[in-house]
Amino acid sequence: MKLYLKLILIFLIASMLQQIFPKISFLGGLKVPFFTSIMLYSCFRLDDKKAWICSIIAAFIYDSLEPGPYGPTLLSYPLITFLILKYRRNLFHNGLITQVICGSLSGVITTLLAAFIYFIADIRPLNYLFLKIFGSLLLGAITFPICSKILSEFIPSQERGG
Amino acid sequence: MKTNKYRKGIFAALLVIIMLLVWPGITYFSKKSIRSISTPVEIISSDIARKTTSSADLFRSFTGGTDREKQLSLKLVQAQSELNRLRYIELENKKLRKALGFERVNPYSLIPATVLSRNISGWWNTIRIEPGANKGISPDCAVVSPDGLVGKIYQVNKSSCEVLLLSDPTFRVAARLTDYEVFGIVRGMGNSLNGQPLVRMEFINKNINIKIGDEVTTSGFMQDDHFFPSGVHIGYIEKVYEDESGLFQHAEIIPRATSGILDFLFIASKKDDE
Repeated sequence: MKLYLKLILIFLIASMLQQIFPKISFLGGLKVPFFTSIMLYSCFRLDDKKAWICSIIAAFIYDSLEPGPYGPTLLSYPLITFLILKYRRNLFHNGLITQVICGSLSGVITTLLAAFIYFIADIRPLNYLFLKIFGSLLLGAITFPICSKILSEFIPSQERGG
Repeated sequence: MKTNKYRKGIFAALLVIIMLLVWPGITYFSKKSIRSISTPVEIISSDIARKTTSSADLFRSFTGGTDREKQLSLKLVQAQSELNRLRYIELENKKLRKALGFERVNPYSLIPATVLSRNISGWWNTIRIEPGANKGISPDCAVVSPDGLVGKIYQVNKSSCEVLLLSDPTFRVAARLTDYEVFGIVRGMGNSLNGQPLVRMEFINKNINIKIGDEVTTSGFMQDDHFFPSGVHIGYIEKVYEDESGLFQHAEIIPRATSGILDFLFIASKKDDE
């Protein structure tokens, strides 16, 4: 219970930070992915059940704060969780390289799935899509290792990494 | 047994996701609920952000912001003198209207609003502001700042609402060129790579000779409960092009109003009959 309260508080702070921070215009208007990084951290460090709960709640909150339809993160976060839970025993989650690669890949997955949803729903133009993909790769690679370092002080690992 | 329970849990979660994706009623209700829960936290965080920026501005004034402040003061003085001139004209106008027996027409009321947050993902050009359905705000109301049109209300929650900014690609508003009484549609075109909002006016009569710097304002709309004020400043013409069809011309606009976390906004709503 204490863990869930901590997670809710962390997600609230992350959502506030992500909403207050301005867009990064030269990266296609993307924002620093605090939310995705925290979700990714919980996938690496919590047991399967808690990781799934955390991922779905995070996706639900994120999409609720968006003006568009549910979908962009409600599809991408469970997909990322599935991939991480499948391969995490083979990954060294404390390693910087692993964190950089996983952070950037999850950023790209989130951006691509959001673009796909917006494209089929025809509610967003896909301007600067390649720049957005590159931006999400870069921002994910930078943000996840930093968030991971900070979060390790608050949420200890419940799983053994590879 | 444990695996079976775990699978059931995943199945239930997937079911919820599918319902959220396909059932608009659930989508609407859940979004409103989450936003209502997050509003008090957003009020606190925007307040902290505002106070932090004010402190930073104070620090800047000691370190190098004084020149800018001087320029702003000059502009303020110029604006003040213009305001005084307009006050005199208004007073004179009032006297003349009284003499002629006309009543002053003030078509809409302005509800003050505080900016709580920006869009979370960056895909949308929206902001969240504080009064919501509890203050009688309804969708499509105009959101203005002292500089002009900021956007319009897109979604209304219990105590907050989402504002679609002028630069958002789904934003559309009827507008006119003030000097010519020519009408068109103003739509958002997103942001440039240096963050400037891109706005365009379309379907302008091709026989009109538009000049750079011409003012664009809203043309207004009123039908049943729907109301959008007229004469709200949008921006100035920057470039003019002929439409591909050859029937119209379109123009790029430089919008004037900003919508930062520090800006004070107003929601224009129809004035109730007294």
